[in-house]
Amino acid sequence: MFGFHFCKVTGVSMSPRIPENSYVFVVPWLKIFNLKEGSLLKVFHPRYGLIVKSLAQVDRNGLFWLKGHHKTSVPIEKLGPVGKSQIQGKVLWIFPPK
Amino acid sequence: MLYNIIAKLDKKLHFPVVMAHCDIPCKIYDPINAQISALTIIRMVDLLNELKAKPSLTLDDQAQFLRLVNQKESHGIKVKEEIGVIWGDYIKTPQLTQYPELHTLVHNIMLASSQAKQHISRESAQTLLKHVNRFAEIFWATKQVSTFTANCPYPPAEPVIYPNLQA
Repeated sequence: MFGFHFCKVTGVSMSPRIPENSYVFVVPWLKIFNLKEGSLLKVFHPRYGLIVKSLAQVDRNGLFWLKGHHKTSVPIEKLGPVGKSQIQGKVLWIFPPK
Repeated sequence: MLYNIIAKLDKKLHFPVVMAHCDIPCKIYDPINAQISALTIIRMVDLLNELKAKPSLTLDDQAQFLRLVNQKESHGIKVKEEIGVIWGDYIKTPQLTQYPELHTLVHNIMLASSQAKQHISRESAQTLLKHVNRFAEIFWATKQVSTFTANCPYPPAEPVIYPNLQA
């Protein structure tokens, strides 16, 4: 109704911060959040589809560079930057499996 | 408890899935690229030796020489990359326990690849192929796939380890 929703996370790229098969609570109201380094974002990536990544930095062109937390994550330069319109929300809570 | 409640909701409502990708493509490993690169190096050495036998080189020959050296160089790098990815991403403790020679073998491949790049030497290139073949043999064994040896059906017609996928 208000756009916030749960998502299920597959893959290990965000572990240990977001273990595989966790659920995340995503809030799309980006304007009320200060997106800073380390913010967890749900992003529509043109190549990889819907992904959850950590914000690495915002460059001087206002583009968002993303990274994973695991050693096997797609490297930051391979992911490339995304525009703000591709960010679908910020992860507010993580519910890891037992 | 919260997780269980959300998981139950997920079963009914089917929440969207977000990917936390690992390196792509996942689990697609095959040493054949490294083997073909090692064969290419031998082939380049053979062609370079043909040029060497000529009393003098025309402009075309000189262009061919550069091209062959470039190919030999780039395939030497490719062997290192292909083996490095399998070694770094696929080979883990169970494979290392089963085949403790793996670290030394990979290091030998790196050294042999450098040797093959540095010299126009068939012997160095064949040593590289021998090590890469052994790596392929181990790789398929860790996947419980039997292998056989056959001469590749194209120049330089050297022995190559192939997986016996129909067994």
